[in-house]
Amino acid sequence: MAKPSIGGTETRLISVAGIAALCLVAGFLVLAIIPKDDPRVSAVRQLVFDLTSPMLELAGRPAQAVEDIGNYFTTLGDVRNRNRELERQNIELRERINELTRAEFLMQQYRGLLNLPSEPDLQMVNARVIADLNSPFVHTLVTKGGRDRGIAPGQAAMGPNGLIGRVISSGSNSSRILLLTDFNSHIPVVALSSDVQAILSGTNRPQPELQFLPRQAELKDGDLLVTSGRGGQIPVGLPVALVRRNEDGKLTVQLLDDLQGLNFVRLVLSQAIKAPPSELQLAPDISQ
Amino acid sequence: MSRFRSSNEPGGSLFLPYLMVLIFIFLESVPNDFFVMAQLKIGLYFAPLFFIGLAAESDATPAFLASLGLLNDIVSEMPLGFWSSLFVIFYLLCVSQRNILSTASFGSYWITFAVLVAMTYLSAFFLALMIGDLHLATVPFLLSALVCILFFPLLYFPLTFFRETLSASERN
Repeated sequence: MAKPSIGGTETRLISVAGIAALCLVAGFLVLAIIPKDDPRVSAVRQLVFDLTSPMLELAGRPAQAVEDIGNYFTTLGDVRNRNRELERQNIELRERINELTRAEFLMQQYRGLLNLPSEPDLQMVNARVIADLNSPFVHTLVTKGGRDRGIAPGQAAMGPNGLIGRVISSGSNSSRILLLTDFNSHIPVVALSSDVQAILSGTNRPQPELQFLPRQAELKDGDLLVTSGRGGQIPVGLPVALVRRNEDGKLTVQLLDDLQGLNFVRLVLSQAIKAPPSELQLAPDISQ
Repeated sequence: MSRFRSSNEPGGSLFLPYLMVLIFIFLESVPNDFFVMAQLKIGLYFAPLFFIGLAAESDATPAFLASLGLLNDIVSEMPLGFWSSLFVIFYLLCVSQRNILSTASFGSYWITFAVLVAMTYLSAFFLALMIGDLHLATVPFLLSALVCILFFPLLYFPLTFFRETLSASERN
């Protein structure tokens, strides 16, 4: 191997190599000491995205413009097919609205009979995706809009068809969303048809997997998974994924949305349900 | 002397590679769906880093690169220290190749770049294995390294052109 000489002098080489070695050691130390989910690091990340969000939004415009141009040059045949498909969907949706209206009426009647508290309506805000941080290591998005629009950590993020992740931090004008496919994502779900509960965990691959599934659970191909609301942060009943059974009989999960190339997301402005006070905290009250 | 090294380093001739590293760090997070690349971490900044590694004379270069790596860690949601360590490793690998590449052709540059990027991605792979809460999707990771190597010519020629233009203007 050739002798590395910087500036042609030995002393200089040692100096630069020494500095490089110091930087390397410092890097490894930081890597070993500071955990990935340290709240201070998260705050710094959020601050960087708050500061750079106008620039990121600007940088994303050419890509959006090219996509728009691509959409503009669709053929008449494509438009006709799309129209036919939309008409078919429209008829189906009208039928579904009738069913839902009836179901809503019955639900109100049952709630009244059982004296159940009513679930609050979901309030949502739309947010534009300004950074897509998908990589082999992490799966996150950054959206425009933060605390100024009522967005807070823990809130659910929806795509066009279902849940795509949750907010992990919100700054003054941007928010970071952890996608369902990220290894650190764990969402409590329930199968709509069989009431089987499980945790949907990310794997850093396109399909998350179901964990803590009861042994005797019987899930069928095509079963819809919705959020169970356990944990109190994400509202109950948001559609998440479909259960799929492959040729070997193994259960897999198919998310309702393609998480790549999302331009907009809807954020559910829910409030976290506070945990009840612990027994130790209650003790003085009881004694009184 | 390497063709990337001017007689009076450091100076404005490395301004463009540094700027490109900075731009590429942020550009990687801009959403696009031209390619099915959403899960790739292409690492376009390795090409300008290669130029910096071959040309920079300043003692502070590793510190600058570690700082840029730290910024990349923040922007790409990686644990702090991950990319900063890898940037320094890549720099040291580039320094070790300076004399070999002093009179090299474009082909040799590309092959060397490919080997150095592969070694750096291999280091990243082992580093990720050592970190408990960092799980790596292997196939996109390997593809990322490949795409990074294939993109090198696109950046090599503009950077060389800029450097030669600047050197000529300095001589005049």
